Amino acid sequence: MSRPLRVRGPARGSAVALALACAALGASCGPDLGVGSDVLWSATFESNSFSEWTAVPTRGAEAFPEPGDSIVVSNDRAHDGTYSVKLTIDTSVMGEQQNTLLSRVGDLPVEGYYSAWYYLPGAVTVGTYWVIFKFRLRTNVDDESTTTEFYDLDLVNSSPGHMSLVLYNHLAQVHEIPLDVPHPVVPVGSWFQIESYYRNNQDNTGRITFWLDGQQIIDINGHPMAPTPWIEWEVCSIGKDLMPNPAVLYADDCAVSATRVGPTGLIR
Amino acid sequence: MSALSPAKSSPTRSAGLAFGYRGRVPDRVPRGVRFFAVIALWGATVPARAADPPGRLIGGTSTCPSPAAVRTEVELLVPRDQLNARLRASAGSGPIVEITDRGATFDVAAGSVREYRDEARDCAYRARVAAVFVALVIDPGAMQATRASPPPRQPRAVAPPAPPPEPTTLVSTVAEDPEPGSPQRARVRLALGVGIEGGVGADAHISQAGLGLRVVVGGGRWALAVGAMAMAPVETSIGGVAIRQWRVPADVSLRAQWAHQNSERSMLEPYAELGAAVALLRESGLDLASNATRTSAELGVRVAAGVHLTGVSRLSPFFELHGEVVPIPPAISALPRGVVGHTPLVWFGATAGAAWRMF
Repeated sequence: MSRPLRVRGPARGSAVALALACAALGASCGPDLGVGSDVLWSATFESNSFSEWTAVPTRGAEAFPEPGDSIVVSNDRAHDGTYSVKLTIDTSVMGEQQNTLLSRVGDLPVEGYYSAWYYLPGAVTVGTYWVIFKFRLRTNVDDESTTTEFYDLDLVNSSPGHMSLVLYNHLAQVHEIPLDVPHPVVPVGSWFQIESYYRNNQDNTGRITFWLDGQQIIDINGHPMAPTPWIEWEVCSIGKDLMPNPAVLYADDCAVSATRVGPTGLIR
Repeated sequence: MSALSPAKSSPTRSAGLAFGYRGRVPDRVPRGVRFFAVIALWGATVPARAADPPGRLIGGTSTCPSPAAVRTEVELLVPRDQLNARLRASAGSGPIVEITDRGATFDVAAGSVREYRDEARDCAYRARVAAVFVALVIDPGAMQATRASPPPRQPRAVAPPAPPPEPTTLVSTVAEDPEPGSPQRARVRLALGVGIEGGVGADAHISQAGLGLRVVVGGGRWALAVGAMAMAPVETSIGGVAIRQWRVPADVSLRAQWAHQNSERSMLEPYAELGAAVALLRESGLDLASNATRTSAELGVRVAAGVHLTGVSRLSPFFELHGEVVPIPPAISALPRGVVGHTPLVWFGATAGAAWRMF
């Protein structure tokens, strides 16, 4: 028959003292010490506004040309928290590009990670293109008129009712670049993350890499990127010939980071 | 009647102090035979000597008290000429009184063997007690010639064998101060040392060094120790995130301590400690896009073992090994990764320095 173990004397005193100290300090027992952040900027929309975008160099939130094109902070759903941004484009006018976008301009790092979460409430038939993640460049940093398009990450249909991605380079002779992972599946009805590493070097150390939900889908390395270090990054819904009408896309938890965010990363 | 008198069957138990009789030490009987043989030869004609050599009358391996210290005390109680007469009578044999140190007890073999308990190991006092016993055995008449107060403290005579001649009074002219030149145990000790520490955890291996300060109160078997170390900030990495860590551990511990007489002038005092520890932690990111500093406390259990080398000086060097377990170490986090790891679960280290005997 075993006897209960009893702690006596000094050992019991120390254990009691430790317990009392833990109780006194409460949450200080095993606290979380945040020693900093590699997140350079983030937007969670939890202020129910675009303030995170407008407080920095930006083009802000834009929606054009049709009145049916809109960009609003919404509490319909959120990746984390309460709010996200709802990008709606009016696809009733065939052959016309519809635009909704949030843009960061100018003060972005030459080398960094760009991350955003998206939600497709339903499958969309893409007639011509549907851009959701975009880099622009300038041939002259100080001349706004030299801004032009560079890399687009587009939603496409891998098969009817199924969504996938393609990468589009506006400067390449062959614009559509085959992904390393053919036809990655973009989920409908659940949040997915697009992240890009962009090292905008003008020599052969340039690099651009994309991940879908943490899976690398393409890596272009060892090539010159834009002609200048200037970068514009857009979280957008720019489409042409989409069905049905309207085409709705949600975005949330956007970030620019010095290190990779990944699907489990925290931006705030 | 002095309670020091070993002739009574239980003279000190009723005193309520840490002294009292214990069982007899049997292996001292042959020495008793030799002692009485020597006594029988007292008065015999032998060549006189100018002075009795050390160890002739009182010998033994004891360092606390030393035979020389006992001899000095005996000479305060018994006239030198009488002592020399006994010495002449014992010519050709070994010491007629033998002192043996047994740690918490000591033996005085003078015909019979008397074992005294003195856990405090007060060497000077031991010498006085032994001298009284020896004087009673050698020359009770001389003891009667002068009267004085007995020593104030009463060590416990452990084993009263055959009672020696019983005096009616005791003589003590010895001062109350400790024996000059003998090491003293500290009741309050302040220790300053240089320490190194290594921390080991699933996510971190950290080494650091610093200064430690420690106060120990208590001169008996148990003492209370309170200490702290100021470790120098160290740059390290936890979970791949470079940080600067500044840690200041402190503790309150219960110390068990012992004493072992090395020689007449030095004593080893080993100790072991168990206590509650708290450490102030200050963590700063180093190479993140935006670095931050956070401060917290971590709680743990500390164990230590060490030793003081105590001499006649108030300063004594010490060396200590210690360890600390932090059951819930703080987490280190950095965006966007979140929690990248935890501070060490176990700390171990060593400290060396000097302790000052304040009291």
